[in-house]
Amino acid sequence: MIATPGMLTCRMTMEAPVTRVELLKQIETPHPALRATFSRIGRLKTPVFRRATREKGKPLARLRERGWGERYDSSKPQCAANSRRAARALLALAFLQPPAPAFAADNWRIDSARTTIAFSIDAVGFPRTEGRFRRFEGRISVDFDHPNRSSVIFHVQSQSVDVGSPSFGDYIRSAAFLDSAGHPSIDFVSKSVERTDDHTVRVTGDLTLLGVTKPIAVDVVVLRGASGGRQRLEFHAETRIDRLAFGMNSGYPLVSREVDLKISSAAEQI
Amino acid sequence: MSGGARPARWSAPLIALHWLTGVLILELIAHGWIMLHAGLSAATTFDLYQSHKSISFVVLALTAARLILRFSRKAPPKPAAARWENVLARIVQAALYALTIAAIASGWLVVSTSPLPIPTRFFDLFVVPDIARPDPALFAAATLAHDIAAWSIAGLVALHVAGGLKHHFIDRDDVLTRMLPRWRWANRPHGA
Repeated sequence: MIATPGMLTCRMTMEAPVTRVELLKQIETPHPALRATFSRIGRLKTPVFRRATREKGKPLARLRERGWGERYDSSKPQCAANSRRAARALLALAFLQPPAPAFAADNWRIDSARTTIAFSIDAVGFPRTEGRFRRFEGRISVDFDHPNRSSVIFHVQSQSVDVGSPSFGDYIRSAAFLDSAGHPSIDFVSKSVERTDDHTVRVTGDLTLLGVTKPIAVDVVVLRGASGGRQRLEFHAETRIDRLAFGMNSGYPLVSREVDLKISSAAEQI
Repeated sequence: MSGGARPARWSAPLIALHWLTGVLILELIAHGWIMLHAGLSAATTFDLYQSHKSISFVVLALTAARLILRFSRKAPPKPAAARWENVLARIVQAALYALTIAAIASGWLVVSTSPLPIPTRFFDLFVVPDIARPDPALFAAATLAHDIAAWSIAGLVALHVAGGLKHHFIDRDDVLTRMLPRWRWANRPHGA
């Protein structure tokens, strides 16, 4: 995730074939040295570059409209983005695994061992249920100069819910609550990030639970620190969602409609 | 029951079932109290509910077997006690059978009519079917009935134990010993 303006614009306007998008997704940001090389390739407009960037079945004119094949001009965001994309496509074609990704100041790797996605829910005549999700993946992109260009995406495997008892977990995974068989993923995709004070940002985004997508807003405390010469970030967020809004009605009102979420994460600069 | 010679002792299977169900019923009462009032975590409480339900179905099966055995063979003779004492003992014993079944049936109804249906997994082996549909009013009534049955059993067990001890230590008859396993008491004379 590179939060440069050009990149974002191109991403949004490009109607890339599915295969290409998948290819791009698989590739990490290239090493600075490789990146320079591939920028040069883009600039030279060599046949290799053309082959790599040609999209099967697309008229050349439409590609040109989007900046493909134009003289490389680093001030044009589309060109910069295309060049980067070309570099990645080449990497994929060559089956090259990039070396340890390290260049963008706004890329952070989530430390899964220090990330918890926990929830708790109250019930009448039953103790408060507390649990957490063990398997998830997420990406955090932070731009301190332009907080609104930051983003966060989390995909949580509903199957991985852990409430401290296997049979209780099976029940939570059943159709009564998480319906893990029908809805394996719980997703959060941020839409906007705005700074509210020195340590807090308000992240607004879409939460998809049981296939129902609803907007939610979460206040996230962001703490900066360093460990071992590396920049570290810590995130703490607490919010409350209404499970009925997502169609999770089981046991209401015996089981309360409010679910408290507590998410904390740590990320290291890469 | 009527006519013919009465055996001196209860039959061995009936003795085994008596003590087994007795222990399990006391366990279920303690189990039920702990899962409701001990302030344990949600996970532990959930597991305790499941084991409470599983054990109660074992007791239901054992009680059914016990009733069949009880009425398929003759009971030992009545002790030489006052008539009201024998009647009271018989009422307590009959009530224990009835309340055991009532407590388990009402518990099954509680589970079935709960607004939050939770499958009863018999020792995690198979799911026990429900006997009714979720119904908040019936759920409340069944819960009350279950509570009353459980506490009544606790009280009657105390009375039942007191009666047995009274026969053994005060009347010095064989009412208690004829319900004890033979291996322990076979060679000892009972009574005064």
